Amino acid sequence: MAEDARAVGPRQRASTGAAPLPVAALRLGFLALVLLVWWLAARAAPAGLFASPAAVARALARLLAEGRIWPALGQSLTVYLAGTGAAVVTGIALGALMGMIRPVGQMLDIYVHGLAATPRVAFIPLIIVLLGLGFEAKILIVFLGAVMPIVLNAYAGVRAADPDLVEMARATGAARGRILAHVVLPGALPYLVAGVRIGATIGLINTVVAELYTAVSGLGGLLALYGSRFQMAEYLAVVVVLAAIGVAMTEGLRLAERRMLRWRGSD
Amino acid sequence: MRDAVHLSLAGVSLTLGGRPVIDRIDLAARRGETLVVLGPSGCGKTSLLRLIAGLLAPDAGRITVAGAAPVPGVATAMVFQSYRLLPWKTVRANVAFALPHLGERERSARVDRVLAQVGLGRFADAWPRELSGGMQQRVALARALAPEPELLLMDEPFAALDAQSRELMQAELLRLTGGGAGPTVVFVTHSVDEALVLADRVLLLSPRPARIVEELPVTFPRPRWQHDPREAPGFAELRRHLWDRLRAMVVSDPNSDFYRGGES
Repeated sequence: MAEDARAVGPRQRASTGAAPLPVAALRLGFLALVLLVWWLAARAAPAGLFASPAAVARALARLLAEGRIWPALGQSLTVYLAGTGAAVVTGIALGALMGMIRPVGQMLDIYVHGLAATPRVAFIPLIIVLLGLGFEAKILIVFLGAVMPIVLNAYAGVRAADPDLVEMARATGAARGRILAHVVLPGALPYLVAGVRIGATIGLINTVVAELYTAVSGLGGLLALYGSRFQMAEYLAVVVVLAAIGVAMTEGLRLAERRMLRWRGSD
Repeated sequence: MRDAVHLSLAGVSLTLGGRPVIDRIDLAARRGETLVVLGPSGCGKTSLLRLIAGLLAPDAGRITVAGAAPVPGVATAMVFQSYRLLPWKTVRANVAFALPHLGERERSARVDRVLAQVGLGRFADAWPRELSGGMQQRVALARALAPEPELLLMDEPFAALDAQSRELMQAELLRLTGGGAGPTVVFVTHSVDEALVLADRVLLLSPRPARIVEELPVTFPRPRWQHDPREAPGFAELRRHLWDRLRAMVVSDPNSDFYRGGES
């Protein structure tokens, strides 16, 4: 049996080893190009309508130093993370239920698709009537945006479960819950992560939408404030903060995905 | 105890999607006996195992395992042709998956023991994709043996392996299940040689719908991983007999690729 030892080892590692440095260099180069175009556009624009990268950087430093951005950031992150977190839990649970129990899936999937295609912004007046203008309303708006892709992906992932593995699990006497936890959901993980990534992006969009349409607060509130006062450097600094949140979220998900899917190997 | 009937089927029939798959099968296996079910490809052998495992219910007839209707679980284990390891679990966790009823410490000790038995102790923390087909099937065998089942159902488990691995796995199976308290084994194959090497009794099935057309005791001495029965007197004769019967069934079966429509 000793001859089988050859089979174990990092045999797929070599092909990807050389890549990281050129990719990082290319990305930084592209960022420099964006900043250059931005700077040129700011120079060409009439004074007061646009701000240069340097002015935005100074404005951001000022906002951070004076502490004006922290309460807004806290409000936005609370709304965003609460709404998106609830969407992840509810979305995976509902999608798994629809996928595991066929009649439930057949009953609901047309409505979920329909709701996913309806602009959720259309519900904002209704949500305001029901929940007012506070945190609850904002969290619901974020939740509604984020939950749909998560439900649909979880549903698709659970339905794509390998029937051979499910039968193997049944043969060991595993009940439905154990099959779900050990066979179906791990197999659906790539679908789940894709759904969460789309949901998290829509969630961030809806965070700003909610802050603009309900009681003005958070980073969305600052956007409205500085935009209406033509404080373009401050306004763009807030945009940069929002972009940073988006990047942090997607990169964090990518790292989590890589860790959870390490059984697939390094390709 | 050893001679008591462990598994019995009485008048068992099965229809899948409107097509009869199994037609009034009767059989009985004694405790500890190795029963090999031999038949042409696609004759319903796999469905027969699913019935015995309790994964399917028969349309007619009665199946009993240790006197009761079959229930999938710890007393019965199954090994499949495609190894069916969970790719997101390590070798150790794949084997442990079959042991949810044990406590943490006992489970871990049991996993270590069966992995050592199949010679994979060093690979406990490997991912399935890192193993060769033969090694993956040994993990699957370890997973099946880990709960110490009384009834072991094997569905062409070595058919996907190369000829060398197949021989080694047959010897391995004989060694692991041949002891005094070994499980009752129902082994499905379409290989005549495999049937004769492993079986106490061979049941020959007809093409769909499957019926038992012959029951053949195989009395080569055990332990057979030490005395290769292929060298025993009478092996060639039994082999030829089974092949002749199989060939006759296949060429006269209108659904077979080798059907000769009565021209012979």
